[in-house]
Amino acid sequence: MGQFRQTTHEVTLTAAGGATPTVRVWDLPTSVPLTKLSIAISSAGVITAAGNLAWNVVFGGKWVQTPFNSVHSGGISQLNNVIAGGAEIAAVVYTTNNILATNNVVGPNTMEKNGLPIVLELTNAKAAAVTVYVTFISEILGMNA
Amino acid sequence: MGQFRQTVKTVTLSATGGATDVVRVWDAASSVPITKLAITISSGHEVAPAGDLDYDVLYGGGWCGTPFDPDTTHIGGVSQASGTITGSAEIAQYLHTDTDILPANNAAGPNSMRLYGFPIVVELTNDKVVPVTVYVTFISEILGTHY
Repeated sequence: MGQFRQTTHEVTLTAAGGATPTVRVWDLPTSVPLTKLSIAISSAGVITAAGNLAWNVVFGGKWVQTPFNSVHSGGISQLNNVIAGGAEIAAVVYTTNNILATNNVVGPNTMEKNGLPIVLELTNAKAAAVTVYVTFISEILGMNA
Repeated sequence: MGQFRQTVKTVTLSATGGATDVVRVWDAASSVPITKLAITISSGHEVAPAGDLDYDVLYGGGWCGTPFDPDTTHIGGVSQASGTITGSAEIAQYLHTDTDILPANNAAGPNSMRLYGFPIVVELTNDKVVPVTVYVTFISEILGTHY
């Protein structure tokens, strides 16, 4: 059993049709492979109806600007759905026990040897802005190579 | 949880119809079994439209020259997954994952795998009219053995 890490992003999405109803957030960079990835969303009491918040877990793609501090585009969808509504809801939206590659990168638009971003795209379908919380958890794997 | 290893191959393919528009690369040699294999590719910012780069993940096959040597040739094998990478200015993606236990892949010699030969190979085919350089990463967990 290795070391685990956890990072939480606070995400504010404008109302549907607003400037930023769709936002991407991502896991932290790492120089070693990962496994046992888990991604959770807490609706912070603002998602009250099913279908109001859609999510899409994406691996890969590219950083359009500064990696981990910019815009991300593309990638391969691993799983997508909408979270169930409630006065408050927290849901694990994705887990995998596969090995995930290192995701540190050389620079914008240049993944080269070690770039494989782990990204969650959120889309607000509500007529009002919402703020939710996305948590990434994973186990860091030691290297012997 | 065992130790993991990672190896990255830089692959340059000539333009479609060129001398090296199809190239095979492989995981590093191992004298013990491995598991939790993951193979990824980064397009190196050169594969733009979808369909410009095809891949085929192969297990087994034969070495025609010195096993694992960068200048050797690998032929045959059994396809595990194949497709084309999605294009964009840059793209990174998984080609293949496998949590099965895979045999040791060190080999006795050219065309003679004998007891321990089980290459893990990716074949790349460039469909572009210009050369491209991409990066293929192999990650796996090394399993101890007890004879």
